[in-house]
Amino acid sequence: MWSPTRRGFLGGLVGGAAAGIASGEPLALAGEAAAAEPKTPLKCTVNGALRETEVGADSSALDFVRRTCGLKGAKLGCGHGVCGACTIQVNGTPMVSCLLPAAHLHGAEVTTVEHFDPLHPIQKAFLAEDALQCGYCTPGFVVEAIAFHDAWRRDHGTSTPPRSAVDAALAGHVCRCGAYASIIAAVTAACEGKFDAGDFTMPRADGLEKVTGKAEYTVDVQLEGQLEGRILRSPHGAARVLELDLEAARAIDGVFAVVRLIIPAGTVRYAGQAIAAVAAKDRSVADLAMAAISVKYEVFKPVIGIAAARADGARPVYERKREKKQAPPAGEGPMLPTHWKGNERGPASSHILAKPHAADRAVKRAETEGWLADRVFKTQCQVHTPLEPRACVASWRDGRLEVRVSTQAVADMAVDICEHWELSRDQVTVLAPYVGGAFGSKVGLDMETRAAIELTRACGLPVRVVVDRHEELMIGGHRPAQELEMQVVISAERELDGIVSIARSDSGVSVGASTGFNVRLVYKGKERRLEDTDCITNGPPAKPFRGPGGPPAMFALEGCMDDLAVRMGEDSIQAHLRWDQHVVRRKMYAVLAEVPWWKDRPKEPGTGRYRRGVGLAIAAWPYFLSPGTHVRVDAGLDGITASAAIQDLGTGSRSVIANAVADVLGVPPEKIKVRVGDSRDAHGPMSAGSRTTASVYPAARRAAAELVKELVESAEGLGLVGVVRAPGGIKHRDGFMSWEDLAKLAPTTVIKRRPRDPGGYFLPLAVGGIAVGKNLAGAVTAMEVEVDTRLGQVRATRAWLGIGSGKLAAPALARSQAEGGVLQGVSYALYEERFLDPGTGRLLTHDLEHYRIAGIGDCPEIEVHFDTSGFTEANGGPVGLAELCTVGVAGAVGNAVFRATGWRPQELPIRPERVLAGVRA
Amino acid sequence: MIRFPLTAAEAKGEGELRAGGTDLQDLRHRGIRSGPITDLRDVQGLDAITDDLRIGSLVKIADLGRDLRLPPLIRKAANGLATPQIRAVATLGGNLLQRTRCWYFRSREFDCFKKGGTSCPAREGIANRHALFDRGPCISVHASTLGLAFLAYDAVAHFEGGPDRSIAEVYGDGSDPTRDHAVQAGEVLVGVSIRDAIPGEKGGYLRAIARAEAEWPIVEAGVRLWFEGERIAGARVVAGAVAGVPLRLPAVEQRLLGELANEATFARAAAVSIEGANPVPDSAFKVDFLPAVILSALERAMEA
Repeated sequence: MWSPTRRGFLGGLVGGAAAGIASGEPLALAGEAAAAEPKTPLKCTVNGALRETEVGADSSALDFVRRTCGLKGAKLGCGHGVCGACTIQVNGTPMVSCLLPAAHLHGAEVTTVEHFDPLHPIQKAFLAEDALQCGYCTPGFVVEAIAFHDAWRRDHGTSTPPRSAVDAALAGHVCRCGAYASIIAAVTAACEGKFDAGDFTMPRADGLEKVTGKAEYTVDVQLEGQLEGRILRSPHGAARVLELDLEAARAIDGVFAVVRLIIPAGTVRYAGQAIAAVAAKDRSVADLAMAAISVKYEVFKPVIGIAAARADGARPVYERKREKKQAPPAGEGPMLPTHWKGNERGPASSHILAKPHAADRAVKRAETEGWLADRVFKTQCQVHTPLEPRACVASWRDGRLEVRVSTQAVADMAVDICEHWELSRDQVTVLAPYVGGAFGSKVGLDMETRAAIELTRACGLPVRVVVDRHEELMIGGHRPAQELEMQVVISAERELDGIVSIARSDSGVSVGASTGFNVRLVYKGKERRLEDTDCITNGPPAKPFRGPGGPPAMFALEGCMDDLAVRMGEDSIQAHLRWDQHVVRRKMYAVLAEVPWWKDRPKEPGTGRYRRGVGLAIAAWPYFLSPGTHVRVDAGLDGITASAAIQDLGTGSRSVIANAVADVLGVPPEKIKVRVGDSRDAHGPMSAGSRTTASVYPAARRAAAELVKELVESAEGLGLVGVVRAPGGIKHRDGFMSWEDLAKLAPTTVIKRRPRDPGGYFLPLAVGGIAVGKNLAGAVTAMEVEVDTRLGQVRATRAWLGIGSGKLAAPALARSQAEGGVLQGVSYALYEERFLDPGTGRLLTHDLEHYRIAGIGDCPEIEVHFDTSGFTEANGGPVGLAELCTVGVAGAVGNAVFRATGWRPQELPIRPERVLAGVRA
Repeated sequence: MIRFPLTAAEAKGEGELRAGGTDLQDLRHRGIRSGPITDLRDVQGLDAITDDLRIGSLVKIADLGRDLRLPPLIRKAANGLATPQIRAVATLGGNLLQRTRCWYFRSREFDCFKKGGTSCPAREGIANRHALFDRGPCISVHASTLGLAFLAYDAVAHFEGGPDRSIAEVYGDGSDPTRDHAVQAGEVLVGVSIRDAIPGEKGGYLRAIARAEAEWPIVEAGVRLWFEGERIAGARVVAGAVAGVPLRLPAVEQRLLGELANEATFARAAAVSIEGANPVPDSAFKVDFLPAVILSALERAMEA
């Protein structure tokens, strides 16, 4: 059973993930498989083939195509008709199959993404424009876009569809990675006939599998004898478990295992915390078993929100010192030491190389001279909610454990599993060939995985645990809500004199949220007071979310900087050039200054109903890498395959490896097969902290170079004369031989570790497998918004992102990721906000209708400028982009709203009601 | 249990009616509704729109949006709700009789009046998507966009084997916290007739949302205007997402009568829309939205 005393983040007391309800809807929609449920006949054609079967009353069309027909392209995303991942065509019309009763397909012609073979022009366009990242939403988009395309071509020929028509057609789809800009480009180009015939490029190594629905995600896995696992979660935000009786559940026919996930007399610290798990022959029996579990709670009033945590007499979320030590981390870096007082932990100070008292003196001086910006900002809780929910299929047989899991860390996960269950490395395999988005939420050994493993261990059969959207939104992870007191001082000489950043975070039961770190990364000068306090509440634990701490820090700091520039009468770029010494960003300002819409931006707030404004904010992120990264290349009868125990979350690591190897070999990237997502391969990094590309690319190049060397030697050994290396192979006296042909004669395997950067690192040693490069990566974000002062809507109309990327390992994919980062930043700035019920701690934003994510119509025109000159000291050049592209966006949006209206938003998201209140004040 | 009656008459009686299923299946998947289903899939004759504007209850929302025989407000409202994949499945009847989107109602973790409970958890909780006109004890707002559009026509709802009722009667006054409408279990809504469409009338529909598309409204409004010469001869103004039922606003209509259709008239009329508003505190901001949305809907009507 669970040990509460193991490593912190595995700690049983709080228990990584957990949430919700004793039921809800599913990955198999509720009711789908009820044994006793009456069936009704269904006869229809699916992709041209006649199907006759019986379906239950509540069976969905999605369930029918996925389970009965085995067509896994259509995905369950939200289960409420919001995200569109389940879209299929019925008699040629796209429909929401998660809500469409299967019985309503009677007599219909059903078309799914699998039908389109050979590729439809829309699929080619998606590939060529790289209109996808993780690929989970892609089949839904493709099926919808095909219907739009075909109708458009019928009615309008190859004329260009307006953006508004594309937006309207795809309004029912959500792409959490934010690939909308490329999706719009792809649909438009296909409608123009540009992909009717001829060649097209495929920049993404696994793009073909994703646009055809063939990519198998964890949720699609179906093993022989596989059981359905479910997690029973506490409905109470604060409670003690008095009694937990699993026997009635165990006695139910079709139930194979019931395990306890909370220790006896365990403390419940958030609604959704895992209590127990069941494995049953199907979903409905699992639900029956969940209902049969008897739990008696002593219920307390939960502490919800920062104010409640700080209130006098607030009930302590953690009582004992040992429990406090086991509180899960909200971030991914090392935690700064600090002390606890009630539900407050801190302040923790990011004062390495900083002079806090000098910052205090600067604030004091500002009373008499210079300028002071002194503002309080509030940011919301943002949940990751990747479209593929947390999912694990575990199979423990004959002493071997195979874990298929949607994770950002196949290699580390295998290590954690070995440690937790005391297994040896050769007993454990972790597989994640395709991961439907993560954004920081799928780093650790979380509860769905722990439950699946415990259940399979208990019954010896494979067990699948997939959380539903309600659970995902509750316990899947979130960026903490924050209150930020920010003071920035500019001296009479117009120099930056000091920054004071006092932050309070609500990261639920987790600790260690930081913004001080992010503030420390920008601008010259050491006069900084940087303090972070965790306000511990009965909310689910936060997890690192793309640029942890960055977006709120830059929203506040750059809001103050903009305020100062305005009051000092300085142009934003001039002001930034005065204060910002970052080499790459200084180059970016010069590029931005020539962007037409920047040049033509309104200089004063508008007065009409619609007001346009342009704002600027900067971003910084460390250059992280994992020095221990290895890449393996096998060349032989099956061609050339490169592999590493890494994962591709849609971030493109497959393509990074393929491009690196192909470049060294002088062959097209599609000649290189790439295997990722298997813990048995050469050790690779987790995908977190923007380190994968910087780690893998140089290792792959080095492995490829070694392969070349060995193949050349082999060629000589084969008796070829005058062997010299040439693009794509070797030249010899009698002609040319490709690497592939040579490898067939002389099969070769090489494994190489990433070479060390010539200039060394910021710290001499890697900490936790991570080295920190000497230079900081930097970005500049400019946003244009249009504010409707009557209805309060803020539209992000244009974005410009200048980003110091170093060499681009996969240029088209780098652009996709940067655009996605901008889009997620817009979504955070304007729409997303999690709400918990204050009385119970239960989630209110429990679906994607109430938790609102940017859609295609919200996507600005995005221009990305890569500066590839930086990071010459980094081996092979590339640095990670994932965090950098999103950190500055909310700040730029906030500043743009100010420039448009003269009202400075200090609270996120910038919802219509806040705009109306602000603009009318 | 599920049954597939062949006629509306057979559909009467036991079982919760299922038309397109988009709302009912959502509620069933969430575990909020259960029990027998009477599926209208095989019932014939309810999916047509006649020339005298009788609309079958199984007509898809997408079809309402593109039928040029229908007056502008109906088409605009149909096209303005949900998403294309939903509009292709959902029906007129299902839309009119759908349940509220209140996040307490839609969560199986909370009990409430509409689920047989004895209290409204939103009152003690977070109610920032709730009533501007609090008619208690439930403070959820009605979800049907088509409801407000048909209310603007005093449309007549037809029931199998029963007397016709006006849409206003279908919804009642919103004071019964257990219900979203006054149709009894076992009754079958077979269609809705629009009888007082005015040739040449103008119609406008608008919802205030944060995003560009596909969002439940902060506040929504539908308007109809018709003219004698330059003067407004008649007006209907209906608001949604502000009360437990779609709300007709006669005070606004009164201010429009006999006036010229210009910005000043519209602004004066829209301003009185909030007379009598008694919002729950979290939703007090809707006071700013209702006049703005009505003003915009009036302008949209004139654009058409």
